[in-house]
Amino acid sequence: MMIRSVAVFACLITAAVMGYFIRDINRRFPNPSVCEQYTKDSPAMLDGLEITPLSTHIYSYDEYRERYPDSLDAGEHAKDWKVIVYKLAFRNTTEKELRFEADSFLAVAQNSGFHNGVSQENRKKNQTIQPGEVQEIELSCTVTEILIGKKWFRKLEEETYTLVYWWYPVQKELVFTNE
Amino acid sequence: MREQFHTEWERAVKNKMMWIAVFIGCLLAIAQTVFEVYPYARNPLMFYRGSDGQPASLFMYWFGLNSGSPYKVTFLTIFPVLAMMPHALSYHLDRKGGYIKNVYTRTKKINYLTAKYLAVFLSGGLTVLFPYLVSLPVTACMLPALTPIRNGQYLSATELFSSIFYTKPFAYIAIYMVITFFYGGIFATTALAAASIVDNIFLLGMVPFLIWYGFTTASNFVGRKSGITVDLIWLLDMSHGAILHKETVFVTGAVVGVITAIIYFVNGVKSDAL
Repeated sequence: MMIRSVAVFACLITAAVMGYFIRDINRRFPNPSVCEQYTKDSPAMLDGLEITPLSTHIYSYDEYRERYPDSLDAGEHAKDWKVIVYKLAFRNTTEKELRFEADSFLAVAQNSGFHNGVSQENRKKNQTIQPGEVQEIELSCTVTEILIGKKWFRKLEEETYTLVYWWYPVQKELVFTNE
Repeated sequence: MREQFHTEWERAVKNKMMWIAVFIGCLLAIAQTVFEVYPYARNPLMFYRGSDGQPASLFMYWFGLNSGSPYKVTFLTIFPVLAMMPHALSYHLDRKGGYIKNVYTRTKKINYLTAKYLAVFLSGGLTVLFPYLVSLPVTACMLPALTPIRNGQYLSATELFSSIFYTKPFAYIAIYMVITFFYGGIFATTALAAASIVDNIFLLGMVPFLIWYGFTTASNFVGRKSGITVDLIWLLDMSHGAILHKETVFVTGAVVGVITAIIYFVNGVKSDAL
């Protein structure tokens, strides 16, 4: 009887201590409360680069290879793939040369939950932008039925596509309109 | 029947093998917490930049969700052995030791068989659940429960229950705990079914593991053309879900459970213990 009471008391104390620590860690690192979205009319600013999301275009794999012949050939099994090309404008607002890397962005579709990395067209790993210069850059991302699901793969034009470039403590994303 | 179940349940939980199995599972979970969670717990934002994805969080590094953790893989590999340890061999020992003859003089065969089955099922399921139940609150004390984000660090959009994972991650964990519990219980009962066929107690103890690993091996052949995976180590891993043929995780367990129950009960009722 005594042992049981001590055991129950110890469990209650342990639960209370754990509850305190759980509450404390989640108070110090809460979920992002805000998602900042940037559009064509309200561009984003990242380390001195003003980034304007212009548009997206969805290509079949054959159309994509025709338009971008320098892109990597994924072979015969890619014939059912689709490719989304994001067009962005970068303006260097500083007085020094800046570099931009495609790895900074992740393509996310809002309704289907699809997400995938992007690569820059013309197979460039990164791009330099001179002070005051404006450059239009195209980033592409592959979409397959397995990645997005059969239902959304049939109606890709109805999705809303974003490029997320900052995750925590505030999520920041560029929102595109389909061409 | 209720009394019989009470007796069997007491035998299961007061059995030192159950606590050894729980200890082994919890040891793996605690080791994972110490070596894989604690380094991030000191400062989840150390070396983190906002463009890197999400900071270290509960749903990234907890024992059940940590992708590729050797502790979790070891746990899932010895899963059927842990489930078997508490009470699964007791039917064989009861038959060999003559205990079953005493029981059959006092109660119906079906009552004993049912009570035994339930006790083995429940003790097996609980044993494999303990490591998850112990490590989850401990890890929650150390890492924030940041709602998972779709950035490639977690499930893809088409994996099983991914929509639940990204909206209610604790519900996702609860679903997989229920699945884990049932698989633990079902694989513990495979030793009951095998008791009428296998006489050697060591081999009998290996039956759940052999069936479990048999599925993993079969998956290499079955999956090549059909895309179906029956690899249970993969299917019970919460850090990724089936993309094709998602029903496999339920069908496999149901098939094994039904077949073992039929073999156990039919042989148990037909056998002449007296």
